[in-house]
Amino acid sequence: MISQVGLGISRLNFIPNPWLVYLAYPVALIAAGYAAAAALTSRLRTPDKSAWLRG
Amino acid sequence: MNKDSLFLRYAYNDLVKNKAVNAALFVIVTMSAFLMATGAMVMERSVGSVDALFEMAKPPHFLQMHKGGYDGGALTAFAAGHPEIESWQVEDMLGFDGSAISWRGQPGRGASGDLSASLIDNLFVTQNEHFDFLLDEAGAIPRPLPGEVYVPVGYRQDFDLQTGDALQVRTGSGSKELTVRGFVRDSQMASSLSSATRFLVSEADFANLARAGGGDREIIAEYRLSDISLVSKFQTAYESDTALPKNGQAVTYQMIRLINAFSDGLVALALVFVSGLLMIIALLNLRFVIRGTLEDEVREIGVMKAIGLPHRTIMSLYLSKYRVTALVGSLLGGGLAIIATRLLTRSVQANYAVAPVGLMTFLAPAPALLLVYLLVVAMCRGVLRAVRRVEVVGALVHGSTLNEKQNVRRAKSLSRRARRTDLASGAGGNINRRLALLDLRAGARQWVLVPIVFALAAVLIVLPTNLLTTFQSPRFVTYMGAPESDLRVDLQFSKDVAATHRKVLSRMESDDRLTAVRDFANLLFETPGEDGWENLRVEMGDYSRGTVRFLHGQAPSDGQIALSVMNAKQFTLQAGDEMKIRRTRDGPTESMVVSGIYQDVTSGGRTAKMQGAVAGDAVGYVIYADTVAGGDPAALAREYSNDFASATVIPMKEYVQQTLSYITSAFRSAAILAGVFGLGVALLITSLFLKLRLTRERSEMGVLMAMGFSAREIGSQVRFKILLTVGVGPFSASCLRRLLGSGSSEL
Repeated sequence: MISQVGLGISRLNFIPNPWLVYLAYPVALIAAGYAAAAALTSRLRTPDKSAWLRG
Repeated sequence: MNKDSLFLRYAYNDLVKNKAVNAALFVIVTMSAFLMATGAMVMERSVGSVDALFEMAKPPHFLQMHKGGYDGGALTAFAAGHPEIESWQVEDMLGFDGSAISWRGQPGRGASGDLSASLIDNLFVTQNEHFDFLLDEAGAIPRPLPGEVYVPVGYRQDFDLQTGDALQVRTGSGSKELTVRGFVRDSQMASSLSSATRFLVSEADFANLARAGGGDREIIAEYRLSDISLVSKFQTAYESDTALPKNGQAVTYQMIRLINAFSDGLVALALVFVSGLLMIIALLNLRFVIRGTLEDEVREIGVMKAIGLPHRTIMSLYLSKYRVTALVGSLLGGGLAIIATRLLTRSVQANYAVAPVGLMTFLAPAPALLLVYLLVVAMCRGVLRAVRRVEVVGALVHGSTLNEKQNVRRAKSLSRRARRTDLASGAGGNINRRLALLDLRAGARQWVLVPIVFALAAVLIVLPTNLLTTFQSPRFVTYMGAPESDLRVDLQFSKDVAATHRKVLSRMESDDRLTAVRDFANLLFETPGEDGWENLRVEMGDYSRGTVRFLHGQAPSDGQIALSVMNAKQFTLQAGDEMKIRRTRDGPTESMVVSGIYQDVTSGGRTAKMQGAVAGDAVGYVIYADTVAGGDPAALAREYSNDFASATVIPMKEYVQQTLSYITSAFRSAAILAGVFGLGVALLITSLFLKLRLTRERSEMGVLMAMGFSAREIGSQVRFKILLTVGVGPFSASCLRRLLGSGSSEL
């Protein structure tokens, strides 16, 4: 798209921020996934587990 | 009861029964529709705003900026010889440095300041007569009275200027005070990518400012053509005429339009890309959910088949729920997109014009929303085809969607797996972790969804951020045809430019606060083009110290020339080719070898570089320097600006930040939006996946409980599995990016 605009740029190489791309974002994603898992598995401690064996 | 109401009732009951799962699916579909529609609407609104301003302001189809003296007769003769010119004019401008312009708020407001933070040229002009009008916020053509000034609308946002404030201009013979009468929108210089902005004053004040001195005189020769498609040929004709003024940038209507819509266009593109990724995530999850539903409800399907319901009807029954989800999600996403578009296009609407709401406003998001709806329904229909293969006996007796042969194969595979997963034969270690790993291996086909979704979410978050950090990086200056440096000094054409250049250079070279001082001369050459000899702007100096990044080839040495991408395209040349150039019409023609191609967005993207001594007869000079550790480039720039009035001295980092401020602020919004959506999707998908898995694995968990495992241990197994699968996603996305190009990508 940028090359089609005719600004004078034909190839734009990303200049990433390694701390964000390789650390902060992956950690945030993993934390989000783990938080969801922690919230859902906390319900496993509810008292009525006999129903589990009934399927 | 007719069939449709039966389907709707089923859909409603199912939606209510599986609230959490259906809500998660609904949110993902809505987010996809929202982003897709927002991308389309941002594009439509941005182009609409630019077009609305262009309609009223009538920008030139071709313009040539020029500093220095010029032959008015040559311009008149050129216009007389070109019947395609509908109208033309020469606009006089007076340029003042930002530090020479200060303002004082109305009594009681207490605010005051100056425009020194603005590094672009501040040009004072009068209202044009025929076209290229500066417009006030109501879209009218203002004509200020003596003592009044209209300020660029961008400055109202940047400096909190208000109507009634006093604006003072420091001239060569004292200060001149004007009252801010209002704010103007500028079709030609509205984009932050423009290196100048215009202030509107009366004829009398313009004459006073010119007489008072202190400002740089510049002109713009502007042309409106009868047919806009003739612009390219017209530009060639203009540039071939050596008598015409051309010491400055030439700009075409298409360039103005593209630059104006560029930043928002890129944001729209990023949003559509993010929405595409969300769509893939939504479709993967739908597939997972539908397959799970079919497995859970296989007995009901078997019963429906047994009583004679055709598979098409059963499919429609299940499809009805997803149709409702897709339809409501698309409509809601479209509705939310209207609000988001208003927020994202606030700046473009303020700087350009409020785009009128027309048929296209409604039509633009429609295909995007329709696409989301159709993709969701098509995916659901595809997965629901499995209903055809369900056999009544298999469904009712075995409770399986598989036929007899498939059931036998599955039983064998399960027994093999059971032998392999014998816990007693395994090595030591935590039993919960081992169980979790074994379960992951056994259910790999289901669990694989999690790392795929998280890898896509990682890409979804990272792409807009990468765009933002790229445009914010000091290294981005290399796309502007300049080396990475702290300070840049521009010396444009004037009678004593060579003498000023010598003084500035000598001072900089002896200044121990500066290092790596590099100077270059701007020279005008001619080269053969399609329609005869054309002007070629060449920067000459020493490139042996690796000043510019080359896309192809390398820096020029003696007898070589490097071309910008646009010039290489214009003259159909590449590295290694030969190029003829001459300095003057009667001068000798030299043959140069193209050493390399580089990217440059300045001077309309059409520049060239040659190795050689910096000539004394150049039309302008540019000097780059770095500051020593701890040096303040902004302070040095101010000092040199004060000491050399005719030099434009800019701290590069701040200059690039200001020039690209529209783009970076738009990307920041897109990056925040993508970040929130990415994390939201991560939360939603994990919840949805686990909800379904935990419901389906209740009996297995019951067995583990009966064997003595506590709920805490079972929970820790699940969390361990999630941690492993979730971690693989972003990690694999990072590895993929590294493999594809050392952390860089192309757009």
